[in-house]
This record gives sequence, C-alpha cells and structure tokens, in this order.
Amino acid sequence: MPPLLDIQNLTVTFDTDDGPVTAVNQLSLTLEQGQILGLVGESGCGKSVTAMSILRLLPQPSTRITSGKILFHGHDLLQLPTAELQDIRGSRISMIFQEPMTALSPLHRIGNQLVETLQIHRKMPRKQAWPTAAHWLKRVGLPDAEERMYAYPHQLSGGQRQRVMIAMAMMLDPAVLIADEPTTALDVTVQAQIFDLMHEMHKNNTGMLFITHDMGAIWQMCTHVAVMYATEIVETGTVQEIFSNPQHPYTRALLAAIPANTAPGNPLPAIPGAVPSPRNLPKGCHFSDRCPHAFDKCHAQHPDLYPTPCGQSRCFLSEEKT
Amino acid sequence: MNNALLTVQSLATYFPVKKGIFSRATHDIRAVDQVSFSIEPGEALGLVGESGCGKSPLARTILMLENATQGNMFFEDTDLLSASPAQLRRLRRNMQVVFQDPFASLNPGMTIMELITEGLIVHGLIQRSKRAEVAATLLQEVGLDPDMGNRFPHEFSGGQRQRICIARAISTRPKLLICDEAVSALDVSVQAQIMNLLMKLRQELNLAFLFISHDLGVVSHFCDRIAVMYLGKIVEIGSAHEIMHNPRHPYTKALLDAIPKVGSDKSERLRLPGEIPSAKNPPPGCPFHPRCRFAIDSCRTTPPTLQPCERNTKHQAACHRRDDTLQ
Repeated sequence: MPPLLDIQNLTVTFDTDDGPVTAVNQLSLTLEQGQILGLVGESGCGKSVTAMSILRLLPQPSTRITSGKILFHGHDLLQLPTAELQDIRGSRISMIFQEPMTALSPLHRIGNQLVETLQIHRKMPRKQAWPTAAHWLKRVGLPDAEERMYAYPHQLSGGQRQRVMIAMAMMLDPAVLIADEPTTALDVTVQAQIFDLMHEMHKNNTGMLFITHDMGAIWQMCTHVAVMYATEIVETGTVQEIFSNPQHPYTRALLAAIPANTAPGNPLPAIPGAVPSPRNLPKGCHFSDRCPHAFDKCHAQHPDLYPTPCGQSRCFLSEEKT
Repeated sequence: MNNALLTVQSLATYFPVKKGIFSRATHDIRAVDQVSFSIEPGEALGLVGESGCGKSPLARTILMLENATQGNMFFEDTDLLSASPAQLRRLRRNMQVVFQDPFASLNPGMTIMELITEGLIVHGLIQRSKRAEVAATLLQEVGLDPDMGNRFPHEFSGGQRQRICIARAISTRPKLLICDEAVSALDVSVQAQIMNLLMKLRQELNLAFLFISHDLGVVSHFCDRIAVMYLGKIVEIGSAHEIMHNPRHPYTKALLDAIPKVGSDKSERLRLPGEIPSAKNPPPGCPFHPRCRFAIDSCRTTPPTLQPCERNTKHQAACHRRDDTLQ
C-alpha cells in the first residue's frame, strides 16, 4: 500500500530583501496509514513551513517551492490545478492551527461557518447541514452546542474555538489531519481534552501530522517522530525508539533539556549557543557548532541521513555504526 | 513581625465591571481573592494555575502596579499599602520583575547600556559616568558579551533579550525577583539556559523569587515551595516535593495529570471536565466543585479555607476532603 502522504525532497525558499533564504532543505517524510507522525523542533527550524507547503498555503510569490513532490494518493499536490486542490483542502486533508481565532471568520456565526463547510464539500442542503453541524459541536464537547451555533468566535474561549476547528475537521472525515501546534496556546487541562479528541479522530482512521515543540506532547500523541533542526530532518523513528534510544546528539540534547529529567535545583543540561539563522548555516553539519561530539569531519562535510535500528539519523556517528 | 521578606495577608484585588452610559460599576471581578502567603529571604515560591486564575494580577498587585482592594502587604517591616511615595521608591529597588515577553518589555529606542543601568541612575546608585563600566559587568553576569552595550534590542534573539531583562532586574541588587512567565515564551534549549542563569544568580545574590508559570515542570525544578491558584484563590500550598508527589487538592492532582510527561502511562489519566468558570460569576461554595469528582454537599455550600493536610502546617489545601483517603 502506498503511503498516505509522501513528501519527497521538498525545498522551500523565501525571497527576502537580502536575497533568497532556504527555509526547508531537501526534506522527505512519509505518513503511513494509521500513523500519528510528530514533527518536532525549535522555532525557525522550518516545521510550520513544511506543513503549510502541503496544502500550498504559503504566501505567493515571496515563497517558492523550488524542488520536490508531495504525493497524496499518487497525485502531486504541488502540480495540481488550484480548483482540484480546493476539493482536497479541508475535505481530504484538514488543517488546524495554533491560533483558532485567526482561522475562524470573526464576522460569521460559528454555525454558519460549519454549515458552509458542509454545503461546499458535502453538497449538503442547509436544512440538513445545520443539525449535522450542531451534532459535531456536541461531539467535541462544547457545552450548549445548539446555542453556541449562534455565537461569534470572540464569544468563545481559546479552548472552545479550537474545539470548533476540530469539529470542522472531524465532520468531513479527512484522510489526513495536519495539526500545527494546536494546543500551544491552551492550558494543560484543555490540551488533554483536545488530545482526546484527536485520538478519537485517529481511531476513525485519520492519519496525522502533528507539529509541536513539546516532547511531552509527542510522547502522549504520536506513533512516529521526525526531529527537525535548522531547515532539515535530523532524525526519524518510532516514538518508543526515539525516546529510549535517541541517535542524533540534537535529539538527545532536546530530551535532556526537559526539567523533569534533572533532579530539582540542579543545573539543566542546556544546549550551548543558539539555533543558527537559516541565512547563515554552519558549513558541514548544521548542529556541529553546538554539538558536544563534533569532530573535524562534522565541521567540513554535510552528513546524509543514515539508517538507524528503526529510522534515520543525520549524523556521522550513525554512519560509523552502520 | 517575623523575619519574612514578603508577607501578604488576605490580599484582594477586584476589577470593577462598568456598564451603561454612566459607566457605573455593577459588580466586581475578583481577580485576587483573600490570598495570604509569605516568602523568606532567598526562598523561591512558585505560583501555578491556568490562564485567568489571577497569577498575574497578584504579581502586579505586589509590585503596586494594581491597587489592592483589601488586605495587607509587608516587605520586611514596611507596610506597602500605607507607605509614602518616597518610602516606596526606596523599596522598589529591592523588588524587581521579569515579564514574559522580552520583545515588549525593552524600549526599542534605548541602547542596552541605557536599558540596564536606568534603574541604577534613577535610584542614584551610580553616576552617569560609570554607566558603560557597570553595564559591561552586568552583561557579563548574565552571560552576554560585555561589548554589546551600545547595541539596540532588535539586534538580539528572544533568549538574549530575556538575559537583558534579567540584567536590568538584578542591576539594583534586589532582594526579591518576580518572574511572570519569564521562560514560557522560550524554546526548550534556550529555556534551560535561562533557568540555569536564574539558578546561578539566585545562589550568588541570595535572591528570593516569586516564580509564576503555568508549567509545573519548570516551577517544580526551580522552586522550594509551590502555591496553586484557582479563580483568584490559593487552593493548595506546600513544599515543591509535597505538591508534586502528594497533592491533596483535586485540582492540583488534575493539573499534574494533564501535563504530558515523557515515559508516563498514556492511557490512565484523570481528565478534568469543562473549563475554568468566569471570575465574574464564581460558583458558590468551593469554586472548584462543578468540575470536581469528589464534591459532596458541603462543597456546594461552604467555601473551604486553607487548612493543614495530615496535620502538616507547611502543606495546606482548601478542600473539605483534603485528608479523605477515598480520594
């Protein structure tokens, strides 16, 4: 069976006043049926740009996808005419964002926004769409769902708005859900409720790409992980394997920096320095400047992805092992 | 008086809700409601809770940025609410603050040197001619290049800006540093660096902290004691170890359970239904009872107060069933 979503050698370039900057470099990822794939990394590593590329949501013409393919059921989404892509957006591949306020129209009632989605994608008559939409609002646990259909987005809390977004995504039963930091702006107790809803979608056979910077959230939600650092993927694997036996020094450092892994009051094993700007990446391995294991080759040559027991790692130390 | 650095007694901050063309105050939002605690010299007290529970209004009231509606606050032996402006001015150098957003809290038109020495000059602690020299020392203290004094905030990353905010906060050698979500906006690797810096400074300068965060992991790593807030009230307070390993209030338990912890069992977690109710119209009795699985009749009518748990006066919870073994 072909993978649900197959990203091959994706390169995304931003045109800036100071010339072109590569935000995502030769990135390949596959999302198989039944997987929840976590894409984890720090701000600016290119994880959101990758997600936005899938549905071609990046601003034109300042952003260019300079190479690569994104295959969905054998069709390259990057080559698809806009009209055909429109049918896929929302209906086959849904996306939820960090800030639901910006994803909902502030001028329209929640109910109308949900109904419109059903009218467009399911060709459902309004009379039938209204109770269907109300049913889904109830499903995602919004109190007084029927009344809330008449509410405007600003009358709901952040958690409630995210529930509306999830209801909108769930009711079309998409094959793929892309969730870009869906709970970062929410409290932990609300986050736990949203995670439950996403797990429910997963049980209904929706594959997910889950983007976050929180390793704890990856553990809780995902089956597989891809770690990004400075425009590229540095490690992939199953959640179990990445957490118990991380191969890339960056993955190891990210896990070590979580306060829970150090006894209270003791210094945290922080990663020295800062994430390099995509404008000014180190020659050789992008992590070499901050890596405790770096040797001469790391500073001179750029590593490929080498196979590990259940994934890949972009590190010369992993090359030696194979 | 005891020897506490900061003592807060039955503090309340209400925000009036105004309605109608005459802007008459119809009722109050009780942002901070009957809060009492103290911080010893050199001690770090963590304050956790969900958004809207009143953490920030409490910090702002202590800093005298909001007017307290009721209660008492003492810094060492000075009554903050009745102190004269001149007294307060002298006190302010002892109480400093670091906010969440380092992009919003640095004036973009000032150089780093001006920013971090402004407090010293306002308080007359150094002469203007010494500025560059003192700034260089401060920058070094927070792990920045001492030659960066002539640059402007926009030239720095988020983590570096937070270091600048910390340099400014410690410049007057305060006794108490209030950190309001100071590491929440930072990436994990940078967050660890800033936490390490705060721990180092705490030791070197014997700083006391009021450390506000929604992240219990960060708070429990940094603090000696933790206070949990819900709807303007402290519902549990105790040593970090007790709160993390022996929580007595169901809300604290739910909060701990909701944190996605690496290596934890993914299925068995206590879910907290619903959301934090509006502070405009808090439920009667215990404010947490509509979401609490353990609520009994008395929870719906009688508001619980902070009481010792298992006779331990240092661990208190505002719950009628705090010592109930059924929980």
